[in-house]
Amino acid sequence: MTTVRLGPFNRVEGDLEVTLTLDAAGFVTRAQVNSPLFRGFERILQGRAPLDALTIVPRICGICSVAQSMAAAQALADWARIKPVPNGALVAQTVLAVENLADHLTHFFLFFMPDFTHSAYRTMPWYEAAVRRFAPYRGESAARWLAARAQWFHLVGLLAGRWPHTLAVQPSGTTRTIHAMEQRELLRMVGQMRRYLTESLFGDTLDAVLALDSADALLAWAEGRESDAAFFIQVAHALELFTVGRAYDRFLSYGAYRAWPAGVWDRATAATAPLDEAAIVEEVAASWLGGSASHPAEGETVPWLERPDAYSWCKAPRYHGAPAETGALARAVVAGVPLARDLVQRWGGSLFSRVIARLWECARIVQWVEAWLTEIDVKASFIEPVVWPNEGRGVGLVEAARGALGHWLEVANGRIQRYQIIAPTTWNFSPRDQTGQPGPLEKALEGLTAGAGAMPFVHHVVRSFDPCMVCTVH
Amino acid sequence: MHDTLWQSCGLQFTEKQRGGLLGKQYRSREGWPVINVAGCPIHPAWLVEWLIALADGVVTVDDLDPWGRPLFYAQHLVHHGCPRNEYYEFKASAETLGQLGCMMEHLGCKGTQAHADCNQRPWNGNGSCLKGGYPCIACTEPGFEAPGHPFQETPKVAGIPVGLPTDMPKAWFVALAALSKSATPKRVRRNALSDRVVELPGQRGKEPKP
Repeated sequence: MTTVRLGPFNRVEGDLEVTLTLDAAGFVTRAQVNSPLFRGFERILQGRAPLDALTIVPRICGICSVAQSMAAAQALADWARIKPVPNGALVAQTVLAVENLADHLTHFFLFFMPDFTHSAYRTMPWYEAAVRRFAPYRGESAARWLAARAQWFHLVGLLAGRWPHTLAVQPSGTTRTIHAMEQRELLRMVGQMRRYLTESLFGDTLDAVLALDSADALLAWAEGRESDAAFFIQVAHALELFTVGRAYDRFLSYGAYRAWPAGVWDRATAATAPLDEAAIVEEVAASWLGGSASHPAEGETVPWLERPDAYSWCKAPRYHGAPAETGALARAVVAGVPLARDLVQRWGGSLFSRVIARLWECARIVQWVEAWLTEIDVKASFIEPVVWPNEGRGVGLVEAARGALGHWLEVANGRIQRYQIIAPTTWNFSPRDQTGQPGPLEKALEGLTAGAGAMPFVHHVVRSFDPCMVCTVH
Repeated sequence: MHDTLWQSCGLQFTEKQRGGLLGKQYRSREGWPVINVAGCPIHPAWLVEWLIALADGVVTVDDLDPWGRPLFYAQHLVHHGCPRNEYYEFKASAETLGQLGCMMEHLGCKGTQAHADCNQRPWNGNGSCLKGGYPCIACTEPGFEAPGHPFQETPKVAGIPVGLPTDMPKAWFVALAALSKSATPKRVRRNALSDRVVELPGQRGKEPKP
């Protein structure tokens, strides 16, 4: 038996270390995922004015910034028992969706696909094409994406001032009034992304991509097609990656995009259950944190370096006591998207299913963003004044690019008494809980080959979750 | 190292205190102190342009301000080029977010004190915090994270904002503010409290005949 420690892990957001125990044949028998950084944002928020959360929480992360803002704005709105005005809700949802699409494709081009230019694959017939498209710094497809991304964020510049770290997303709406001419300018910008996705990412219309409803349809679609998405599918086919990297096949979503419901879907029963927020518990048995398992509304963040058996700064969220996976695949599966359901039924929640769910969601986002921007009533207001209570609690549950993001707020005497956050990667990269159950990534790595001479499948699987470690340890 | 929970500190400054991990006297082999491309977030061009200038050898320590910030962006104030400048001039203030008026008096805006070119160098196409409709929190300034008041509120003493422009005598500012408030055109006063232009700028001469 040998131990391999991978870290610091490059091409992920933040700090990550993975420790693998291998048997004599080189198969992973146990994986430990360590988030080796303490940040303490929940403590920074204590004692501040409640609305200060809107300034502080986006700074948890430079890539999930809007998602954090949205969760805080919703928690504050819940605390004040208000809802954003319709225009504000549309703008905030648009800004979040813009960030999600940008995160998905930045992950695909800059974090995930470069692994296929690894020298272990140099004898593969597709290797030269992978290098041409995805080699770090030189990949032609990556360069095309970066140009499209810069244009895409102009939407946020107009709707919310800048990205990241906007203060435009407020509990009762958004701060920027959008005029009729600007509404048209925004739609033109969305058209640019539609063209990029059509011509470069998919090599097909968005309608055709969205109509793909099964694994078979997807494979047939990709065959012989010239595009970045089709290339990934062809390579995954050649390497037989369809079933690699499955965790528990239990998926959690807080509901997204004004259309997809919150819930939990389990492959074992193939049944969807509505979300029961009270069933969420954060455990700390393997975390360098004091306290005990608690619902986030009662949670605390107190470092305790001496905790026996601890190996991560990440807490271990569990749903009804079980680990759950979250992300683009989870929200599509919970919503009943036929392609996502069929992929998971057939091959499980594998690295392939995760990546396809992200790409497919990009097509969906562009269509939704067009609809939301059209729905804006340029004669109506975007925000209204609020009278804030002095006490109370609030919860904000949103879907960030990487999945379910929750903020739990408690206010006493007009100040933040408690603020607890569960980020998507906190779910996916959680350490073991008090019964010893591994977190989703820890489970997904078991049985893979690793160590000297092995194909870089471990890297594909780790990055297939699109981890954001700085959010994880917030 | 001001807090034992985080055990964090700056490289050469910790908030406004000189010092930090590398010490006050630290200089690189080429004689540079720590260069603070300050901002949270920074504009990408602040970093990229500075790095290119460094590589080209066209900048020296004289191109940094006392906090180690590159002057090419820190010699400006966020106030410069602010689209709400007319409201500022007449002290026509927004009272709640979403209104067009100046956000200095009530909503915590620090654009007149924050060193950066945010309203001259556009963000994400043509954006900025002010253009987005929310106050500048002076994120390029040391200690911005703990201002001692809620970010979206202006602290006041006897009704006068505490954080006045840094290089203007307070009495003058108060006198000037009183004068300009009394001279505020109705258009500016009305628009300041609206979320869109409700009163148009005047036009010289007679209006065209129908």
